[in-house]
Amino acid sequence: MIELTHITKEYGKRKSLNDVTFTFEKGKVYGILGPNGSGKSTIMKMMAGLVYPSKGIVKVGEKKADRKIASNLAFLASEGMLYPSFKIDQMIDFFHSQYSDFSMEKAEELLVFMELDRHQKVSQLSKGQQGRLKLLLVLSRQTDVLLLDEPFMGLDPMVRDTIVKGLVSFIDYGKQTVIITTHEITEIEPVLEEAIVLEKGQIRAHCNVEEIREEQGLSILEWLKSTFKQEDVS
Amino acid sequence: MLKGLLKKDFWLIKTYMLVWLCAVVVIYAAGAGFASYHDQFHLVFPFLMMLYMGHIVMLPTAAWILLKAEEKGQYWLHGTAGGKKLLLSKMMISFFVTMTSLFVTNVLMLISLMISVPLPYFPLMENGSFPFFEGVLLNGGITLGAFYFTLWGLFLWAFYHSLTKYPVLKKIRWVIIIAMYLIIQTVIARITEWKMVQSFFNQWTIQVGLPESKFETYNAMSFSFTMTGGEIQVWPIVLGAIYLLILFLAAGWLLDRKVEV
Repeated sequence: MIELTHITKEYGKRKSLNDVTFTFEKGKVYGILGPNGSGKSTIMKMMAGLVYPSKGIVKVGEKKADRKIASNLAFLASEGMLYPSFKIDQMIDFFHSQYSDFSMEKAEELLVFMELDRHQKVSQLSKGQQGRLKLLLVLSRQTDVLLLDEPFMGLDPMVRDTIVKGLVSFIDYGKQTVIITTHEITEIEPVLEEAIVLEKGQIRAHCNVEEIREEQGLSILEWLKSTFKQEDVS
Repeated sequence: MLKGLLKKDFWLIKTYMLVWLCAVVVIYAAGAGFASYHDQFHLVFPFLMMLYMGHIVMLPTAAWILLKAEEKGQYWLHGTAGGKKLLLSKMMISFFVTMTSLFVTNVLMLISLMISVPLPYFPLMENGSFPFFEGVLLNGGITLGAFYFTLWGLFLWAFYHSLTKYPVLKKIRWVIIIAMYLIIQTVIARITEWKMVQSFFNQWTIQVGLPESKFETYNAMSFSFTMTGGEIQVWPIVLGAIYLLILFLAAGWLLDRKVEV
């Protein structure tokens, strides 16, 4: 369980997050949706202990989120993360040395699934392959929480599809809490259980994907359009 | 965990290290070629001294290369190791690279001395003893200087990045860190000039009986290297070490608490 209690993040006068309170339940898959600059990455980095709130508290389980929280959760960052001069197996080796929950067995499975050559250098990988390698590194960890910040950024539809299939195959549903930020709503929909819409640093809407689909017969995209249309009108 | 960090940092700098070691050999070969062309082999020594002095900036440069590799996204901060351990790994690998290069330079210096000053004129070798003490002093001085700049560099780097979250200060971060360095250095320099401080420093000294080494005139060239015994103040060394340790700890603390991504 991840608890955000009255979180505000200020950069000078600008508020990246403004009094956000939300609880991510254990074992569910969440999608944080929203336009650029809505605070999606800030909220992820805060849960990963890379950004500290100006006000409020972020708790992962019973622990306050700080740098040490990395041992309790796996974080896929939208930038950085990979060393261009490393080979894929060196990246795997490094992650294995840093996280006691890193499963080499799972990494081997994912290498095959993601069709990656362990001897290839990161700098020689395409964007899609780099995206898959990042996912491999994160999914190989047996943690309770997975934070995936823009896992589809700059990737073509084929790669996005592989990543979604990877998530479906390798996420431990019911045990792992997975939080994904993205713009690619349609692709991620089959994986999501809950969707949160973030705008201008505040949660604008929240829904259960299954309920929306069954009760209203809407996809998330349709729900988003109808919700914001109604709000704009009112 | 530290082992993994060390391995990672070594992989990050391995290519740079090999290029640098090749450069050392090339610079030496250029010096040796130049000296041989003029038929005066001692002309290789300025090249060697240049290489020695280069090591003062080598340690901070190696550390800077390693830090630069982490700057994009600063993802390295998301890990199980704390700031101090992350920086310690960088320091240890930078130190290893510098020591390797210093060792190669020492070997080249020794070879050059043996070529340039044959045994009868090379009293230390003639006595059957290696110029160990002088070597330790030279290498030690270079290493200490390099450590000083590196630890200051680490601290200022961490301080620089900790200012990122203040948009007002972001554009003038360079000015702030330069001003900070100059102010601290000036204050310390002034304090050490005080009579009271000097008399405190003189309370703990050790007598160092340095062996006297002298290379006499040889082959129309004249260079001498004489070292005599003297007193060394211990307090400035102890306080200097504490000062550098504080800088290191402060850099680690900043990395953990103040640097945000």
